[in-house]
Amino acid sequence: MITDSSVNLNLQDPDVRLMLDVQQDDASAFEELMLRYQARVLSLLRHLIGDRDQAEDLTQEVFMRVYRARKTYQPGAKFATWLFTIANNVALNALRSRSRRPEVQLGVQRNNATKSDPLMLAEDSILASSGAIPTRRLDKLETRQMVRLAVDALGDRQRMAILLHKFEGMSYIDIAQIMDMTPQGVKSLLCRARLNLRDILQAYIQRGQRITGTAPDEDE
Amino acid sequence: MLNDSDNILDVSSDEAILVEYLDGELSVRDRRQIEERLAKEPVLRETLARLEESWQYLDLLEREDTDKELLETTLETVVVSAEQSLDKLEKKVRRRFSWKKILVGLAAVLFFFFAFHVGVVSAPDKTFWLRIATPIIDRLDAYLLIVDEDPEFLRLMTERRVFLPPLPPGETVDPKNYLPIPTAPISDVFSIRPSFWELRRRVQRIEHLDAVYYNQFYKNHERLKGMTWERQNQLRELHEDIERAPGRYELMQTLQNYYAWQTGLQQYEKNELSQGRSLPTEQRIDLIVGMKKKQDIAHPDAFKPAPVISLLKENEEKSARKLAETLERLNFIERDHVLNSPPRQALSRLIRETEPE
Repeated sequence: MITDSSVNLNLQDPDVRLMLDVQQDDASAFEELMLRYQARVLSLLRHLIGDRDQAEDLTQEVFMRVYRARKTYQPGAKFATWLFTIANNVALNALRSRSRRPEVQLGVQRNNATKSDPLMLAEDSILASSGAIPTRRLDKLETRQMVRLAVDALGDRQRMAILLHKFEGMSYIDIAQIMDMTPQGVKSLLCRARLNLRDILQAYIQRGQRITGTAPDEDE
Repeated sequence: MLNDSDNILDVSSDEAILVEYLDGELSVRDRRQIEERLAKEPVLRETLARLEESWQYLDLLEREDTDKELLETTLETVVVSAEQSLDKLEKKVRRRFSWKKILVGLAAVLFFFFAFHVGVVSAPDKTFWLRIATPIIDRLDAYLLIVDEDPEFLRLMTERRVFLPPLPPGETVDPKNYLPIPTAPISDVFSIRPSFWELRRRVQRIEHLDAVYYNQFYKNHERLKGMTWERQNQLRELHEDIERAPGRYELMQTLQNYYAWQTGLQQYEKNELSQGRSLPTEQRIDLIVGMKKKQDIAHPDAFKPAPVISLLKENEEKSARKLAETLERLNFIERDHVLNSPPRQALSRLIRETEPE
């Protein structure tokens, strides 16, 4: 519910004021908002979708939706919350349409992958870290790839909640608003996500277990 | 991929509290309690450490950089898309607008059709009002002369043929002829709710009025428009009463001749006439008859009403009604000219005026 006090509070948010300028067809305000948020939205979508090109397209779509919705925008929430709600919807749509298309299994890709394939390199690094190939010290790049695979192994909603919490520093309440959940639901989702992440990463680092969860999304 | 909703892990209450602790979502009291437990329980500390470690690993995830090109491409895409949306919107509005125009056009046609035939319109412009009020404007001065009189005044004068030629021997006057029949239709020529074609004819007539009469006509129009609605309504009722009477031509001829006679009076005669206003209608008419007789004796040629009715009756080639209508249509100046012309000349003029019809 939008109350006068919440509107007044949000008017202090400089991004909300920029968005109100966009509402008055101020192109420079829109450019400023894009400068502030484009990389953040792109990062979120990149980690959700996996593919950089598609993430860029989706980022464009997010800002397109922001622009189209400018006339109906109401400063009832923090601008970032409103923006990431749009990003969440765009990402979920993309993931849903992807799940409807035939998915090439990761295992098959692995068999056909070449040495130049980044995924192959990531796998090698994980295997290296697990002791299946001659043990060596994990460098930063390899660890990063390992972490990325671990995050990719989470469900879409867990991944979204983790990314919003970690990257955007959002509270349970903000995440609940973006993902259309209760704060209690977000708490439970984040708890499972953290424990899953811990177990996956610890398994890699300590026992060399490989990621097995390659099924299409089964969220919700 | 792990399922969000499946409880893959047994989430102990301790783990859940530790996650909330790390996320900074615990209350002060709960925070203090867990910190006390952490100080005492090494296993709990280990669990916390693992959770924290895995969380810190996330810092290694790349933050995407965006280049200027992506910004420009996005802005371009947004602008192009907005323009396309605008185009679509404009086309939609244009389509809607054309429909709107057609509907407005149809509504206007219906409105004017309704206005012409039902006559409930307040005129959209003075020209329109001028056209529909033409018969009253033409007769304005004559009507104003009797509009405040007893309604019997004109009828009795006509019945007594004060300003009409005497009836041929053997013919009698039917007084009912001069009473209006409420249901009788009014000739289109004199209707104040004319048909489209009559309206067109009136427009043409106004356009071809000579300068002298046009000024008089327009002045009358302005006078009529400046009157109160009640006054306008009185004039309309008088006009319709005359036009609904079977003997309307004789009524009108009486009125025109009375007007012409009255305007030609000397001042002392006018005074005499106005002093008689308080008299009963019959006595007023007697006064007028007496004044006329005096005039006839003193100036036999002062006023001779043109024998229009007998003149029309003489004419076998044209319908009397049509010629009478032509006479009514003439303006006062032209009508005076016809009425004061020798009978044959007047007839020729009326036939000439009627022929183009």
